[in-house]
Amino acid sequence: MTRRVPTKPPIALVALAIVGVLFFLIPIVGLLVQTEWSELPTHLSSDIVLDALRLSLIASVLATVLAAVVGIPIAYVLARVPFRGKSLVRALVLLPIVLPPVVGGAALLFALGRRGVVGEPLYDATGIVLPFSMAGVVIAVTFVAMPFIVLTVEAALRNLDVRYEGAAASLGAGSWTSLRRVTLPLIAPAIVSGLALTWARAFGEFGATITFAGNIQGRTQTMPLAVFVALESDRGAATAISLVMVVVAVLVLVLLRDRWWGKR
Amino acid sequence: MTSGLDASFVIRRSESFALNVSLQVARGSTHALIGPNGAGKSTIVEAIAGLLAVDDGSIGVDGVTWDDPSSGVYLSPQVRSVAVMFQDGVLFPHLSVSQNVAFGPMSRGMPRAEVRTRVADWLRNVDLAGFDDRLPSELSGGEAQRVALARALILDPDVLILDEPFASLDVSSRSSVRGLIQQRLAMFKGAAVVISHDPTEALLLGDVVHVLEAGTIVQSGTPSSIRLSPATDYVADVAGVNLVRGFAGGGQVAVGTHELAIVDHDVSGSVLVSFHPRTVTLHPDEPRGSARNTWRTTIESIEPRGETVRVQLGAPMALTAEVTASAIASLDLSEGSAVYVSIKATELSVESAAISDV
Amino acid sequence: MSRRDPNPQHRRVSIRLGVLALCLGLAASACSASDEGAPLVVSAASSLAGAFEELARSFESTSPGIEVQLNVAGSTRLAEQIVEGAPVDVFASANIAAIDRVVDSGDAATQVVVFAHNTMAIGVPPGNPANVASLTDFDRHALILGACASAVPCGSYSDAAFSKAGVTPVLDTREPDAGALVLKLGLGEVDAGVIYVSDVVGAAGAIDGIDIPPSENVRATYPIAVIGDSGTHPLADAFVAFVLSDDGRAVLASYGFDLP
Repeated sequence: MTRRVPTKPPIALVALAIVGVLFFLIPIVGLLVQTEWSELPTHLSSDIVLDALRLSLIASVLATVLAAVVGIPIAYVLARVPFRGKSLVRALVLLPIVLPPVVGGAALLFALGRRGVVGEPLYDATGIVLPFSMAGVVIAVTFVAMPFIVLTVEAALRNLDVRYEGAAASLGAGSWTSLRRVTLPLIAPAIVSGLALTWARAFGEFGATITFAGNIQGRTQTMPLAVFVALESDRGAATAISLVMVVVAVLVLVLLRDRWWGKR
Repeated sequence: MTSGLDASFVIRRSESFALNVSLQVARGSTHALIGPNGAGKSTIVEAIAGLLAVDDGSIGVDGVTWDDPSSGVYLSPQVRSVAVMFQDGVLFPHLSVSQNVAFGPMSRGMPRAEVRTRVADWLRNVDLAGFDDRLPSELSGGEAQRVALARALILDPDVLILDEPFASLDVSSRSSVRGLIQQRLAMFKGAAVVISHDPTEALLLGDVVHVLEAGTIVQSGTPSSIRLSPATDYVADVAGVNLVRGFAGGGQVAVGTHELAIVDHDVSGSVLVSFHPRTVTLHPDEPRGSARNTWRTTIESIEPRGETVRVQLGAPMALTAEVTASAIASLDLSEGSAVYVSIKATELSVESAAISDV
Repeated sequence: MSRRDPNPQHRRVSIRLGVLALCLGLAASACSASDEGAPLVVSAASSLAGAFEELARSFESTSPGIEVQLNVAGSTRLAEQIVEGAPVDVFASANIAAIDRVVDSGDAATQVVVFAHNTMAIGVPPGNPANVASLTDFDRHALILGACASAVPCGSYSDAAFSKAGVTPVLDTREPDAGALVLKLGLGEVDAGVIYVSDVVGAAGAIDGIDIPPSENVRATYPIAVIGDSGTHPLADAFVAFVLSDDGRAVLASYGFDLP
């Protein structure tokens, strides 16, 4: 098969792109250079690191699932259901992206803390305390990460040719069947990339977690929190944890092959 | 009427545009709807399919109301027995050919084994046996339209709508798909509506032709009556053209016992020849000139249209001519008069056709 | 400046980044020691934030044309920044260990002087809803209890107090600094937390404070030193003198610090 010669991209654009990639690459290189490789096994097997890794993985995966379960319906309603005040609702849903995570955490505290608007009645009725617990970690990271899945899925739904759903309806498919067999499969790449972004954000979340969920090893101290604390005293542990985070993140994102990000 | 489709409704799409149509399509017949883009054709498709509700009037089939705002009835598209064959197919890109065709019956709860048999039958009916596992992206335009047709007809609907079925096809696939559609329409027991902006298809497929302009049907009738008495300029120029079927070879087209000379010496086989009535000149005596097509015929009827006149001519080849009213007067022509017609070969458009077109 | 550290583990990527940020932040004077016209850079421990803010403004008003730039963070981190070459003129730390770090690496230009003390207290929401009375209450599971992270001075002092009192605390959160803990105490989200006495004073009624008796309490020591090479640093010396002066001591006292 003969290959068509692609048109040459503007050289300035490529140069800028290379600078951009270096910008991402250099800190990682710096981290690798600073790592004490001989000390690594000790750190990696320490309780602090293992506890933090376990918590981070559990919390980020749970948060991604939760974000999908709640976020995809939100995206669907925003894209398909006409109602007044839609832009306000969309702004609300995207707020966690704009807010500094610590502010988000404080907001969660005001709402869901023991004296919070919702948290107080909950506590009085059931004795459940949401902050300073594993549940608090999941809530905090879900809060900051959910906008990503909403954004990507809403955009994909808006770009989807409405005729597909019309064809499905005229052929006899009810709304659930149409959703299940036509709409969702057609936006699958967007859902995948949305979930990847959501997970990544959840995995790296710091500000909201430390504000709302606390910072206790084994219970609420996720990887980013562990790094922050380690930086104060044990630099070797800090670089080890950072390295683990980079490796895990790269693994997950690389596993999502290129073709899954775009059209099949 | 209680059998077939009865759609008489108004839809207001915007401040300035309102669609106001009335269609009665009997079972077993095909009505064609022609109109320029923006006339409201897709709105009609959506209204009958149930994707859009009407503002006034009603839509019903076989006496059962599908949409009637005054009595509060509105059946959702899933419930209506209507199938649409969309322009460029709108096949589900992630499903295979057989999955696409099976979609309707599966959604309506038909048992799997029965669906499988039906799908196999219908793929055979549209000459796509063996295409089961192909994806829409692997199909040519013509093949995709065939799948779309199978997907619609497998449901055995009461109403079939063909929305610009040939718009996305190139000339060569058009004739074979057209042939298939004509064949299937002939066997179809429900009411069929063909929507098109191209008059050739509408005139070929429709028993009755409706011309839609700016939201209203300006003329309805058989293709020949529209040709003879076009109600508007659009009808006259677009819908009211001559269309004859013949057999081409060596620069000649045999139309029944008559022969037409055409420019293209390479085309052969079944063809459709079209030409505008304006290109036909009438002469009291046999003309001697460059026009290759000249013959003697009789005037069957004359229909005045203001300053122009449409003349229906008979054997050996029926056609419609358009001349000025003063010409008719000065030539002293009337019904029954013998007259010579003359058409230049360059004015004849020739298009390959499927056997069944002829 | 590139003194070999006996512990090879101490490579500081983030500290270098902090230094870079600091340099960029002080764009006006670039990375040079202070001299006439350039701002005076003071690194102060988190618990000194309020007091040193006031001290800085007072100093500025007495010396026209002088600008004091305050850099507040955890003491350990501040020490590392200095060792990495941050252009700091004065360092006020919340514990001896951090300033020793700086002295050991040869970055202290003068002797270290202790200018204030602090002790720990138990902060509770206004009204003390959980009826906390002493450190022994910190083993009650039912309460939401907090302290600073062990890695910061506030946290290490708290740990020392707990062990002095013979208590194994059941903590629900370890905050990166006392300020965050004060916030949550004020909101009532945390029932009790171990913080500095100065934090209770600084909270000005947002929280209540419970005394920790001397038998269980620990004393936090705040040393200060001029940072730089062996030359003279008149402005930095003046600032340190101001902190040690009667006026300076009065400010510190008003923020709840004990004075030597």
